[in-house]
Amino acid sequence: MSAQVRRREPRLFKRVLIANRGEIAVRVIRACRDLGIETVAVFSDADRTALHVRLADYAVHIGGAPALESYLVKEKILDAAKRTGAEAVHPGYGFLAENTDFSAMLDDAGIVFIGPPASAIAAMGDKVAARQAMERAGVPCVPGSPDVIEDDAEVVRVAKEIGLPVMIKASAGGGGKGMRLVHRDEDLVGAVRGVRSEARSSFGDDRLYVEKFVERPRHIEVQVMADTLGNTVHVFERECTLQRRNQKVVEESPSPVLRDDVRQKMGAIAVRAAEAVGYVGAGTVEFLVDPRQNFYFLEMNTRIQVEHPITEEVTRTDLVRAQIEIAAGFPLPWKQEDIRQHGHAIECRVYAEDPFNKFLPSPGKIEVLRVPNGPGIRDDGGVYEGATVSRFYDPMISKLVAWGPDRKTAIARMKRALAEYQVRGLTTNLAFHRWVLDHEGFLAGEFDTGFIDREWKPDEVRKPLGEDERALLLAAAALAETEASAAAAGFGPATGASANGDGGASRWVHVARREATHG
Amino acid sequence: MAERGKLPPGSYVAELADLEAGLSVEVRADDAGRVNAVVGTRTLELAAERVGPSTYSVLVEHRVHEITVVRRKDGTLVYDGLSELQVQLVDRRRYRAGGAAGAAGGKEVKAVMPGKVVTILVSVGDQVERDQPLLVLEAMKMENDVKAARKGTVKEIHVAAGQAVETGELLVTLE
Repeated sequence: MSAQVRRREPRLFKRVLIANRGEIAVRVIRACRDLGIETVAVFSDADRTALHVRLADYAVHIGGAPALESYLVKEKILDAAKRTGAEAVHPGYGFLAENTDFSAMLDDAGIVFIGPPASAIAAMGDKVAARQAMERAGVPCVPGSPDVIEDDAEVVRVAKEIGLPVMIKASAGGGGKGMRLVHRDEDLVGAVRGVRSEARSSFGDDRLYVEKFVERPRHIEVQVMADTLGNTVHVFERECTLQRRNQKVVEESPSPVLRDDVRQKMGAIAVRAAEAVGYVGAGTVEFLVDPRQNFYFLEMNTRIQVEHPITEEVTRTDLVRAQIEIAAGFPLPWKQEDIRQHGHAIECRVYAEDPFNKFLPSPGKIEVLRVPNGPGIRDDGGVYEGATVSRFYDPMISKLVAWGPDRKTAIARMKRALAEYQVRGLTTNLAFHRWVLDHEGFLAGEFDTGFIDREWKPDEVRKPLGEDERALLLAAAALAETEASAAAAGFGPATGASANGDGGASRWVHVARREATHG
Repeated sequence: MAERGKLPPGSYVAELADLEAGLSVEVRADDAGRVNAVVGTRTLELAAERVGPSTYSVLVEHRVHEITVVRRKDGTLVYDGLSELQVQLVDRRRYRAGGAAGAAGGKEVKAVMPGKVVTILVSVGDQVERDQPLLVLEAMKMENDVKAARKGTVKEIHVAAGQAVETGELLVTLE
């Protein structure tokens, strides 16, 4: 597999195209700027004024608002790269990040794909093949069937042999689809049929396998980085146990529970997993960890991940910059023994979604945005005040990261930042994050992947508005209404402003009139 | 020192989803940023300064509030810290008894986000309870119940299954 790794004479790119949007496109643009590389943004009909377009040096329109007409169209992105003379393409995460056809097309055109070789993406993309490769490399996997099972009766036999509870999983599954948990013998047959039919309709591939179900698991992942010269390091772990329907919502590093001997072992095994598939670039090896800290390989994500900033803050690295340098042929900027964990970092994913209404996306215009700041706070955002969160894409507003010398300080800083954060005009999940950061279980570090589904009770969290507060809000609304209608009526002399400029005829009339004009 | 222009007093009826009758709101601002407000039977004294196009810094007995008022065609959104309030403010001069001005709180059920109508769950003439689902709206690949904000009778249904709707679009009228 490593035969496919292409070495090149180390030389930094002059211009890089970013085949993505939102905060990750902004993050990559910043890394390019730090390296003195020019940037090319791509945008759909919905994104002409998006932040990543405003910040880039060049920008190319690539089609309609639905991602299938723009960000997912390989030919259009290749064409944009050719037209702007980009020497490399950074795919971010999602969209085309793990698409081997896309990286092959770039390769044929002599453009560098900033990511792992196609062989490594393919090896990790098929769950059953990945599991076999990992077992060969001595990476611990969850006990289960060694291969896909054709026969339903055989699935049932293997499940009983492993011992319930088990997970019945589709080989092509992902994102929480195509899997079912079975606790009782009598439910096995139905579950096998259910997963097969779901897998057939969702993925066009009904092969399945069986795995032991790890109870009360934690989800801990290890960041790895590998260069084209054969060096591979791990950059320690991220605790990603807090999930809602298999979507991570709050991540932290280091894990608050992992024993140091387990941490070291997990890091070494993650490196072995990456080496086994000839990995190059940034990747993440995900593990399930049981209450006794036995850990099992889950999958490898062959891209930069959403939650990479917490690793950057704790290990004082720049992973996106390193991705670009590696793709340009340079060796890894660090040796394993140079990489250490300093303090503690937490990330909250801030979304335009309503935690009190099934986390339904709440796209719309951001009327007011006050982003927190101050010691230990980093906000990786993709929007600005006045921008629109489109209904066509992931409704992420930003990734809020807090760092502190210890977990307690990081939590205090995150709480401070969440209190400072204001997004007006649409509903966000900030109230949900404030709840997490106040939860005793979170503070104690005692949680598993089922924590949020069990503990989040929106009706108990939401406090009805008190009479005094409602009166205050209504008074402010009436004041704004009065000012706006006075301004619209041309009320109040606009002349006679005082020389000291602190108000003159009417500060409120000026402001209100400006607002009325802006509609 | 400088004279601020005098703001004429404002007098409104606030229509809220959880109140049957409108709530009277009167504001009177003097030329130094002091605002006297009478909301229902409550009297408030505030010191309000604009700090952005739609945001006030407000002091109430030295307690600091940052209140944002987003005025939209379909109503006004007001935010303070973690709290949020949706209201229809109707100028008292235009307000007539018996739910005039058309947009009585909660009578008009509108789309809060763009999407597609999947199913209509009620018919004209149906009695509905507060929080009863009226229709299912699909947005961002997820289905969501659109619920009645108040008790009432279905007067009119403005959309059909399969129809795409925009934010603020009228879906159902209750009475």
